Amino acid sequence: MARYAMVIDLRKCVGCDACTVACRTEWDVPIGHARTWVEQSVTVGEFPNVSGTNWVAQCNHCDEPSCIEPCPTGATFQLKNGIVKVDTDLCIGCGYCVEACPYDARYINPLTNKVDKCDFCEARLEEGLQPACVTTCTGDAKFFGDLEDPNSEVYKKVYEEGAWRNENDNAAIGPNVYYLGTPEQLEIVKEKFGPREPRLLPPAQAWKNILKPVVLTAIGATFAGQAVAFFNQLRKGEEPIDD
Amino acid sequence: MINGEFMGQKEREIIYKTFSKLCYYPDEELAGLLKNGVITEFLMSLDPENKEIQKLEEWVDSFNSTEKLLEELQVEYTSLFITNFPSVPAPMFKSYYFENEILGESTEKIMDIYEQYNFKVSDLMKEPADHLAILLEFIYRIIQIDNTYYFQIKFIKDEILSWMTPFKESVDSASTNVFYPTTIETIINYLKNEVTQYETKFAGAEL
Amino acid sequence: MSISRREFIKRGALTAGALTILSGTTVKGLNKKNFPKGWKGRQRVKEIPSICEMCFWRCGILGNVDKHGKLLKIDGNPNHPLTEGRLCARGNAGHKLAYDPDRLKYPLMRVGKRGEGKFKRVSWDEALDFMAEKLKKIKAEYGAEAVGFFPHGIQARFFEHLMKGFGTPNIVEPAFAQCRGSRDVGYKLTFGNSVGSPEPLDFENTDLMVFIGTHIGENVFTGQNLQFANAIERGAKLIVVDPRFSVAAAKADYWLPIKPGTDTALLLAWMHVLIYENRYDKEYIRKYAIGFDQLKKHVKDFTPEWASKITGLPASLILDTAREMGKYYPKVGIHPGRHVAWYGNDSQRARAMAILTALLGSYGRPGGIYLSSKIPAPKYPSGKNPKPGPRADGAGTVYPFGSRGLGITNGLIDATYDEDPYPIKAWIVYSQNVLQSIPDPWKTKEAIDKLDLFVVVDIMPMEQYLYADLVLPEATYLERYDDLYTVKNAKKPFAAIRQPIIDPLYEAKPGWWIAKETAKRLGLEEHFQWETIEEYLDYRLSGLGKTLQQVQAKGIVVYDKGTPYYDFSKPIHFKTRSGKIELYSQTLKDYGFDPMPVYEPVEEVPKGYFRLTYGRSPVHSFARSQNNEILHGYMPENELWINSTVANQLGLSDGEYVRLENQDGILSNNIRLKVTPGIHPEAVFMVHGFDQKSPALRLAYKHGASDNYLMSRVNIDPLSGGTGMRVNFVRIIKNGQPVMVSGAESIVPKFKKNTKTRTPKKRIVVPQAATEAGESEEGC
Repeated sequence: MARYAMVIDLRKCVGCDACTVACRTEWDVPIGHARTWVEQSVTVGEFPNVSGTNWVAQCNHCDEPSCIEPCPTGATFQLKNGIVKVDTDLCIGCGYCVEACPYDARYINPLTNKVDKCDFCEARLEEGLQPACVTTCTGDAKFFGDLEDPNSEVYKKVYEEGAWRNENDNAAIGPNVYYLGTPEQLEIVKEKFGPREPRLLPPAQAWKNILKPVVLTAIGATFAGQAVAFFNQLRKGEEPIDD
Repeated sequence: MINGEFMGQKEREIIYKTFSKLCYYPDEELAGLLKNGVITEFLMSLDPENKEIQKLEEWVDSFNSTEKLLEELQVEYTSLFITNFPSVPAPMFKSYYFENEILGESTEKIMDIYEQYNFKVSDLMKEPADHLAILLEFIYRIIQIDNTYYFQIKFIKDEILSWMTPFKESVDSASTNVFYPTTIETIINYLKNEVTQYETKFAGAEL
Repeated sequence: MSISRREFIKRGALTAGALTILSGTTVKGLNKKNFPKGWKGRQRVKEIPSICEMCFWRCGILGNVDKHGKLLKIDGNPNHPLTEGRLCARGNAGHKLAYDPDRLKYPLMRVGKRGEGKFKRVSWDEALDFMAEKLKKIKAEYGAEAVGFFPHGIQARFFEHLMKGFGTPNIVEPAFAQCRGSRDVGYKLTFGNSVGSPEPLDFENTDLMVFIGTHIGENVFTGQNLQFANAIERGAKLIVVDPRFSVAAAKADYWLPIKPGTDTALLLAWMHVLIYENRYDKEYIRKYAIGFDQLKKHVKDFTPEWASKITGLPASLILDTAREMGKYYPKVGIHPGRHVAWYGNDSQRARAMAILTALLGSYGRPGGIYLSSKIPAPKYPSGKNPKPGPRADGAGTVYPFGSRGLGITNGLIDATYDEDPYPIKAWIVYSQNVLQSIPDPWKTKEAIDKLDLFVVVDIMPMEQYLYADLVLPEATYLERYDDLYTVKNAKKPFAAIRQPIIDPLYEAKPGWWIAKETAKRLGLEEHFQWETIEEYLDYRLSGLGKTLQQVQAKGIVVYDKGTPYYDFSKPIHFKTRSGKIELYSQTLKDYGFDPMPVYEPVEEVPKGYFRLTYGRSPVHSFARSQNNEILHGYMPENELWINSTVANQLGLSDGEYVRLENQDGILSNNIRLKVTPGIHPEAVFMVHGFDQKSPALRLAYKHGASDNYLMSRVNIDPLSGGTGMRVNFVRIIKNGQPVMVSGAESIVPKFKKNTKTRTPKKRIVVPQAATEAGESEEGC
């Protein structure tokens, strides 16, 4: 079994947005939203003593994703290879996962009213291709592969070169997008782009509004375990129950 | 006539063919028909209540030659539907209003529909497949092949009327004469009327 | 045409008819696995290699097309030797150019007065007949030279070929005078070769990269970007000289935030250190250069301390960076720069950079600048061109080293405006945006007023189309064949083809067709003896032993010519007058210029004002991509970089909108402030190409501020004719009020008084050999 991960070398990244445009056209991401995004020329200090970096981010496909639990329908789930996915057939666009992601890596697509985010281009992987952003990167700064394969580039960069995980006190959930950078760059990243606290709504509170018409009548007074089990079934392909 | 029953097949064919013609770049044929009153009479017969058609007639009469009229029509068509300065034109194809691009997803959907009916846009035709003139011509062709209303009405609703509101607004605000606002309005009214009639006649039918 | 209503109804007598009945089987999409929604990969039926033209670098692309022939997505072509399958943001967004609803669709003929904006659609026959008649008439009355041609890009080459056959010498591209002309002049005078395009920097082997104003990363050429990033990863060092903390500066080991306009002083001080500390390549200089003793004497007093006072850089920083170069030579890659039309002393600054390169022994050596090689792609036989009359733009006369291959745009505009040396009666502007790329657009408009014929060939309705008599819609790069694209400046030189990925939309036509059809009407068929473009390309590819069909699958033919460095075991001849690298230029001396570069102070920034600087963004190309829906989404408007300390003093905050007023009282559109510590306090910076003035560009219209419309002044480089554009000063206007430090006042009255009276042009004639070499490639 594989464990997919990405390494982004900020020393090489020039912040040119090739990756984000490639992603946008590959997945028809509407303008104003993004599966991956870039900030160019983030500069700190006082002239002329300044330092700066570019920043690239996307879904981190975390070891312990904070976006799965709040999902009332089980639309968000994780594959064994680590990819966190959204089943758009199940997604009801409630946005709880959007709030729960400490990296703000999710958005609700206004055209479909479903949540969307990076899935490491799973469809391309199946075709034997690399993710679109990796293929097009003009600085050869993005690396994708299997962390369990000691011969892979990402393995070397993570375990031998010491690529860094963007974690802090707000969230330490094992992001699988790693970064390489100069100490000055990583300092800026920590200060400006560290994860925020996941905004987790209490589950019962969260489900009340959404599930009332659909579920509560079907399964009566409920608690978390039941609802999750119920929706897991749905995900496996059972017909949803209409009110 | 517009408030009456569905017209006969032959009449509808001619109506749609004429509508289509009105939406193409004006040529001598169109200018000639307009100058000798055929077009205005045609429009009036479809929409007798419409006072604007009278104004259109007066406007046409103000030209002392067909050539002058043709140039005016061509300049107006260019500025309304092709490229314009200083106001924004009103592109005459659907995907502009849905995807803001030429050959958008809605165009491709329409191409699929054409294909289902074994049509394809001729290589000589340089406008995109969802151009209003082609959509109207398609209905004319469909009437010839299969004169059942269900599909036609659905096509009119989904592929034409769905973008007529913003389109007409742009035409109205950018026009410098009465020709296009009047003809477009007559076309829209006629299409709407066909839809209403169908829906009344087959009340409850899902579209 | 008369037809009665009865007949009309009876016959349905109309000639409409766009739909044809399909025959045969319909094309179906690939029946792939059930891929997720939104993934276009599943609709892909064809993948067609070609070359990009979102900018002039022409990277390799692959167009993915669906069953309706719609272009779904553009990828990089992995066979491209420089980009290795990578593609920048603009290249990735290229399909939005083809499908832009604002693009020009049909030939348009002006109706009514020029500038009134009344057009009617005409057929290609009418359009080309009209143009040919007018051109013939002008030629008969005023001579062929009365026609000026403004081309850009390989798509314009066929028409350029036609114009040469027509007999006009007045062919001008902004690539020279608004871009890299001065650089080419400086390097050519020193090494006998201009550096060419792309800059042949051997980043693969370099130990130290030196950028002077070069902002790779923001100014993106995918190939160069990739080599730059890989060099950084490899551990190569980097020195960046830039008043702005650019993306490259942020990666540099040394950032030299120089006072704008003082670069030559820094370069002279660097030479001083290298020479007086004996850190230059003595053997290389002894064997291959002349004028070292004069140079040594010349730079004697240009110490780091001297330069420090001028540049505002610490002397120790100047010394340290010079020593770094001394440590790593010859593997030092000094980027010659690209857009170098800065202050009007630009050819001499480029000379200084070339001399520095020579001192480090890096020209023609691994890790420095490698050599270009020819590609054996023969020209298609063509009729002989008539001998053209004298040029009107001053190339080779008023500006003795101005390129006669690329011409001087501003020189031709001046000539049209002044009707001197003779009247220019027609302009054909082909893929250029003359009002947004050449400074002083007001003068350009007045020059247009003097024309009998103004033709615009373009893809988008840029502002200039408003003034055109005839507008011809060109097919986008995704819809056409073009001339073979040969790249000599690559370790392995190659040729790439552009081929149609989709059919042209509307009535847009490829450049080769427009040129060939026009030639017929001008009686110049002998210049286009090929029947089809395929035949033409077959002929050109024959030199590489290929046919078009063989190249179509990969898109690229690589031509391996061995190592692109000098072989020092053999005698080396430089194509200069002396046959050696000319540290001291007798040629310059003979024409009355400084034989070695001298620092000339630039005008100081007046109190309360800023020097207006400008540059590139990775998501836009020039002034031409601003209406692309995706790229507009990334950067709908430009920002004004301003130093944070200065902004604090003036009470300006990040994100607020201001306007700019230049020294001539010209006001810009609104622009948002980007308050940053990363810029010199004397300068402000904006990305070029915004505030498009054509309302037909729905997205780009009036977004951001135009640098070009603030450039009412230029300093012309007397050697090249290049327009030094960083000589304009702006003050900030907020809510209608100027925001200035106390005691500062408007300089408009002073500048009004000082309006330069036009000096009579001095014409000298320079032998062709002194100016020409590899200058015909376009770009920039």
